Amino acid sequence: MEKNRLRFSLALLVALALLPSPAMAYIGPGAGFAFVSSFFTLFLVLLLAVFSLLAWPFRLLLRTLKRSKTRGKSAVDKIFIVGLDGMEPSLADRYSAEGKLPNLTRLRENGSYSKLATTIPSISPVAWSSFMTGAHPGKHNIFDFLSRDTRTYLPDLSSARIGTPKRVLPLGKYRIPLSKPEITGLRKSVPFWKILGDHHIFSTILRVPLTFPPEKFNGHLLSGMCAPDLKGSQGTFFFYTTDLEKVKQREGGVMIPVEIKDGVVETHISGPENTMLKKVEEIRLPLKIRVDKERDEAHIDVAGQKFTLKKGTFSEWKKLTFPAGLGIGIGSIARFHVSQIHPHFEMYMTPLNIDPEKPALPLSNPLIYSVYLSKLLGSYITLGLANDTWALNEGALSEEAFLELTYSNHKDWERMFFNAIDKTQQGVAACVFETTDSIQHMFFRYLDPTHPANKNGQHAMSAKVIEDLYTKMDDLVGRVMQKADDKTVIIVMSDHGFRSFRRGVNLNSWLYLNGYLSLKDGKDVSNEWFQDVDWDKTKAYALGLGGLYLNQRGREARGIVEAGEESRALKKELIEKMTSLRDEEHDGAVAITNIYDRDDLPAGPYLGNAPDLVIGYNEGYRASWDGVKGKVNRVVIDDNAKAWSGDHCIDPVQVPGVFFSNRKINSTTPHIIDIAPTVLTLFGITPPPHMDGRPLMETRVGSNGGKG
Amino acid sequence: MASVINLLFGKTFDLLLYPFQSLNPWVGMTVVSLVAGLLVLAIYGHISDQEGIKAVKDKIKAHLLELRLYKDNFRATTRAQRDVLRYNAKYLYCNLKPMFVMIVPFILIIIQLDLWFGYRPLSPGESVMVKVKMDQDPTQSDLTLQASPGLEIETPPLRIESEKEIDWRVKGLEAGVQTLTVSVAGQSFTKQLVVSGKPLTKISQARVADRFLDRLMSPAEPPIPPNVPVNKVEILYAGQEMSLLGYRMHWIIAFFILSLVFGFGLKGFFGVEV
Repeated sequence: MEKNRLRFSLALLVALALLPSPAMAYIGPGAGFAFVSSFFTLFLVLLLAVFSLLAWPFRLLLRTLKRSKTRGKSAVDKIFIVGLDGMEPSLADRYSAEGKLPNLTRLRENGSYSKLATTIPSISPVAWSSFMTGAHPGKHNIFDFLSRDTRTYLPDLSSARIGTPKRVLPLGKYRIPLSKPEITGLRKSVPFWKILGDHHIFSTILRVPLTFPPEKFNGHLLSGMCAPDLKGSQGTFFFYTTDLEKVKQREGGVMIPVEIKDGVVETHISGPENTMLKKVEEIRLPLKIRVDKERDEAHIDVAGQKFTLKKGTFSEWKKLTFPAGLGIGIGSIARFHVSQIHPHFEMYMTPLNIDPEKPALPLSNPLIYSVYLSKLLGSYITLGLANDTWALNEGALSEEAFLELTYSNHKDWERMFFNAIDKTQQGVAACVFETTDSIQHMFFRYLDPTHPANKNGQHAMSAKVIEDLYTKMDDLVGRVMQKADDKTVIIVMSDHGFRSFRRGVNLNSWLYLNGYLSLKDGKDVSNEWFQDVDWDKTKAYALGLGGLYLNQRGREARGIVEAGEESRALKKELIEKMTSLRDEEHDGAVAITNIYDRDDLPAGPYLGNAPDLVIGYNEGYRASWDGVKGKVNRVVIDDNAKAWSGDHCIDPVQVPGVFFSNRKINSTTPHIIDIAPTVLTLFGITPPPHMDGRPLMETRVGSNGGKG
Repeated sequence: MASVINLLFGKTFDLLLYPFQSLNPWVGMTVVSLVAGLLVLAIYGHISDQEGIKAVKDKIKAHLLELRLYKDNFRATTRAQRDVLRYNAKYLYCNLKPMFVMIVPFILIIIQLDLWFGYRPLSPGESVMVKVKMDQDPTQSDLTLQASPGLEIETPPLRIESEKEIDWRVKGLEAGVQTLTVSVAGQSFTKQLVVSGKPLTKISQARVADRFLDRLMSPAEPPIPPNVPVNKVEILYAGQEMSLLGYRMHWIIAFFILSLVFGFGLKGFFGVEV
């Protein structure tokens, strides 16, 4: 009897094996899970479907009631904003005239096109903050990538401050966090999508700079520029090499000398600092690489993953979890690239990106949005400054590899953007692509045959790189246009333009040589971050890409310049002298065309945090690499020989952005601060008084077709 | 072939469960489930398309998250529901290959486990039916049954012509592995019968003729010698159930749950996507 039962069971099992689900329950944990998971999924979906159907009429009613204030006033259903960071109007004009940008040309002809005035200074975090808030920098508090600590004269990130957890539980050698680390966003004012959300108009905002930490609002947001890597930096790449000649301090990355022993490299990946330990120390992951010279490939063994990389190829994103102790792991993702196998082994690794699937810090609103995108599209770069310009600058990546990596990131952002577009029924889908900015920064020298960087370093490519970039962006715009209907407004815009960066100006050296900045006794140069500056005798110093600060008494810790008249007089004197600065090596060319006095900039509650003077460099000039980092020496102007050969941190009037739309606009001089009020107005919402910009479009539905 | 398989699996399970014979059957079941879980994880990890499974599972999770993220968007949620079902079907499809590969070893494991957990031995004084299945008319056969001293044959043989079967009722008298001897056509062979025993006792319910599938299904005793007109000698032991906090369940349910728990618990450790 019992045997018959067993036989029957087994016969049933075999029979059921022909059907996928129930049989799995009988063949162990693996397939058993398949059955259980599938059943659970089906159950959940059915439950949610029923709930969704039942709740739908109520949700619809609630939404209709909540939107009653703006219903009927909205001129559009959808607005798609394509942010092409740094798209230069003169290049758009040129390629358009050559017929290489058919989609942008169609927008220009059927809708509108204009230069778009940018902010003072013309730096991405500043300009995009104005884009989202519709206000000048004095109201949003972002004046550069860097601000300064008035107590120490050291730089601070201007965008966010990441603190430590407020409450911890000491346990042996550990400090167990009982609360989340405090992350404070330093950008002020209100982005337009928050206002839209308050009116129940849904937005998806992707990779817009200065959106870290993500703020809560009725919509989805993925943070962009200024989101940190796992080490808390703005992007620290890794370069492993057996070539000791190449091991030196690198900007933006760490060089790790390695040795090949019996064909194997044994090294490590430097992870984040383990703040769970009382004695904080870096967490490291062992990294083992077997170098196969015959096959020109490397076999990599890291974090329980083994994979092979041919020379010149990138790995997929690899998950690297750093153990912090007590079973807690800190998730990150990175990609590897073997650039050389012999005579020297060389491998690049991207900065450790926060894993969007298990984010150590919030990257999105809501938190699960980054998880969702990761599950849907696979791992993607989360670092704010995503494209590794420094790795190319420092020779850790070739030009080809840099482009491959950059376009790979771009492809992911496009997929996110089109997913957002497809999900948008009414509201805004906006994405900022920094691809245009990064590639122009690194390849602009190909448009400028006399650029100093062309004399040395990598220059295997041509101006076609920039042309390809613009045609690719045009293709993207074309695909966005296909998604638009008659009640869709498309805005294609950039935050600033681009110019060649041939010569660097070290204002700190100029201040030193002209008696405004003093060094400690016996010093005639200062290392970075003003190490050897004598603050008690210093009147002014330059920090960041365009800021000059007075060493003001009562504000700076060791300030000597009195606020008021003395400061005003000093500023006037500096403006006169610095605008007279000539580049004697280049026929006495003017290096600085405009200097903006903070007191003359548009007012705002945070204007006091702005530099006292914002330097407007002439085309071809910019703050030098040394000057930006607070180094002082006797060289004021020198060649910029780095691959980073294009820039926009110059006089803002010389680098306006672009504005394309499928609708006509009512201004010949649109400004980036006009975008936010335009979006609000199109949805029938009156822009709040704190917005400085004005709407560019009529609220009535325009006659131009959505397809442009 | 059947002998080799039975020897391999039989000895493995004997070795595995021998140390736990005197303990509560749950101990042995836990150990077996753990080992089975590990074994299956290892096999599953190697033969399944791990990347494919992960990709499909990620898609399912993504579309489930969509239901949450786009709860006010009717079109998006209905599409998400459709996509979850679509990827759920793909997920099941991804599991077909490992399922078919694993079904063979797992049937053999289940057969072995049935020997240990499926039946209860006789208690002293308890009776049981013994059936001999023949491949000829039992009324024309000279087949006899003899019992060892620890057993008592309570009834004369009952010959059922239509079933080609002869039945006896046998009583267990003494604890231990007792023997029944079947004699027919001048040849004899034995069948063991377990009276009493330890909490976990291996019980062979049947001894069968040397046919491949029958041998696999009844692996604990050697086959009936050739040229004997008997197909099977079967003892109708009472079934045994596992008991947990007063709740009784078939051992296969306990095995399923435990192996599932171990599989789930250890899949991350072994990096297997299930």
